[in-house]
Amino acid sequence: MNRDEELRRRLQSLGDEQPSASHDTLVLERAQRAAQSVRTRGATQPAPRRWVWPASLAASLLLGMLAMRLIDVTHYGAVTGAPLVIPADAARGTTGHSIPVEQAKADDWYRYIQELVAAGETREAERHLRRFNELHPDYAYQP
Amino acid sequence: MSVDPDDKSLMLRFQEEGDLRAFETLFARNKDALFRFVLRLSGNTTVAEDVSQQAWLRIIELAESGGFNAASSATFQTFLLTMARNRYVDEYVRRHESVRTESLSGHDVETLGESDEANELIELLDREHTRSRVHSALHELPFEQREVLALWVQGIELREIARITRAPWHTVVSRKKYALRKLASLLKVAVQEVPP
Repeated sequence: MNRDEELRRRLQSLGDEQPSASHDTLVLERAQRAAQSVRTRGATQPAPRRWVWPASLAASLLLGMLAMRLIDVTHYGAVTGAPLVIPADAARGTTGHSIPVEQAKADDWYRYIQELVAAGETREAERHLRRFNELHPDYAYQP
Repeated sequence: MSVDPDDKSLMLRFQEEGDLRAFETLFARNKDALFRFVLRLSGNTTVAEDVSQQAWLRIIELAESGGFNAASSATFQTFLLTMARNRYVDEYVRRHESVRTESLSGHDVETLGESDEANELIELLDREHTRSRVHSALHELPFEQREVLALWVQGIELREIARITRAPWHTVVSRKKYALRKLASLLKVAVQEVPP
């Protein structure tokens, strides 16, 4: 221990005073009332819980998705019901006819989906992508 | 092996759950240190009780209103000492003592050097009637030096003292050195004045 530390310890040891019992009592009584107040407040107004915010966000997303689905069904029902095909110019080695996606090569189909996205046909692109993922779950795009 | 919760965790339990046991532990851990700090500052038991009590009541009010911020980088002890120190300055020092705010220059600090105050003081502390002499001598010191010394004796590091007293670090260093030097000279005089 250096001299500075020893001096500090020596000076510290000179002080062994304590606050009076009435000091402690007053503080602890006030703390008791505050604790009661906090508990009462907690019982009547539950404090925000950690899961409330993520849960409300998830609920909003779910509602949004349901609304979109409803719009799809009412306005794009005909489109959603249509069989998925890719046009002949998108499918290599075809003879000028659109072909069902089930018969198209994965690369051709994927490129066509990219073209749909680029053209802003997002709903159609989503339909294709959903089906694409079903048929080619392990597909890895190689540009 | 169980680890005792730190002061901030106890304060949060009191604030968020109304856990009175947590507060009682916090109070038991810190009340004597706070009281002794204010007593060294004021030299008066009544003032020390008042300031200490006011600081604790403020802590309780803060918890009750949910205003304690555990994310602050300051320790609970620093927070508590700062609260008491500010209260003491507002209530007592500004009314009765002039608070000098000038800081000592870096040159002053350097010229103080590695003095022998510590050795000399340790020697003086071995004499009889030390406690009352030290208490009297402490109150001969200017407030700025006395508060630095009181915090340092409490175990607070100089950088934390600078934070609590809102003084530059080099000023705190020089205040501590001057305080020890003056304390040594005052104790020497006190010892010489005592008849054999």
